[in-house]
Amino acid sequence: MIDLHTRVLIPKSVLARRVGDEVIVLDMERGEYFGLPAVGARIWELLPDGKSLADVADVVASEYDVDRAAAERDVLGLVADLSDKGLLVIAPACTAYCAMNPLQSG
Amino acid sequence: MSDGSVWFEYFFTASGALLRFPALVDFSFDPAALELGIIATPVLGLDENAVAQIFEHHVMPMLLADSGHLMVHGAAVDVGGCATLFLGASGRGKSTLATSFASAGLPFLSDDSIRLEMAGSKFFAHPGHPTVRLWRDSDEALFGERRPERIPVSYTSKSRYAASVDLLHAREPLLVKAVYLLANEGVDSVFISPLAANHAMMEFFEHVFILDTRSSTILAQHFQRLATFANNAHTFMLDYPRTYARLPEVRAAIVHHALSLP
Repeated sequence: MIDLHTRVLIPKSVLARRVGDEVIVLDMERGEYFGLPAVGARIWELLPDGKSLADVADVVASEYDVDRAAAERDVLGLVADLSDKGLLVIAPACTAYCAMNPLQSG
Repeated sequence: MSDGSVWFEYFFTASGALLRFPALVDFSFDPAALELGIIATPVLGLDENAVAQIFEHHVMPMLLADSGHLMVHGAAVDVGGCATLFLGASGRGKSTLATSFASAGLPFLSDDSIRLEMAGSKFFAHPGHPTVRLWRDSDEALFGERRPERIPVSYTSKSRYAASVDLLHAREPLLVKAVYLLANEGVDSVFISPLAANHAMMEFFEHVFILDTRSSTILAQHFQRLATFANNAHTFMLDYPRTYARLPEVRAAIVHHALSLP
């Protein structure tokens, strides 16, 4: 279940680089790659910082001057999509686990 | 391949790996110990020359890519002392353009595969094999009476020609200044349009040699270098009329465009 308290982890088999206006994400296990344009690129860059999705939505709402509800929809929708594709996994809701398993940068 | 047939297959075996060109030749080797040698097993009747050419032009780029070199499927020519690259699928005109430039005094570095070396945010294209490969109907239109030495090739209907004073080959690596991705939409005039870095990156993925997609180290290296390349190269879509008579006009437009870049 993905909600605003969710934090995510990016698997070691997933690489990402900003290229021009997009973030290009490579799934080395599946040999697939994806482009995340505009807001999606920014959301991706915010995810590995250990922020909750609520924190990410705050930044998106602020930076793109959109209302908070729209930012939440964008963040939750993208995270669900990326999770379905296996490009990120939902971190267990456990502070101790997170401290022991620091989020890797993409 | 364009007719749906398989050009090559790659297998892992108990003793290493097998690169198979169906109905032509198998190359078996240990990817972790290439110094131990590569064994070629051709089908009955395929001559040594054909085996050597398949190895040089098709196997070597993949082995270089597998050992960490960034290899792209494309042609490169020297325009004003810098490399101009043409990337595109087979049949898009890479060799025709490279030959046209080299016949006009602008040396080619390669007509099919290019090794790119990264130095900071810059990339250098290395000269490849000093031959070009053309469909047989191309040679008269491209060379006229100054046809260079033809190298017999038994496994394809293409002809191969060696570099000469009439088909200049670059000897030194050159800084890459411009990359043109070849389109073929049936246009009536030369069309050059800038390509955003993110779109360029997606295109580069399609033209990079990768042999062993299971090697995350090599994949990660290629990914990072392609991203750097996409962020720093001047990349364009290029389309042009596909008639030999208009190649001088096409060449002039590309030279003018490449030389105008900062």
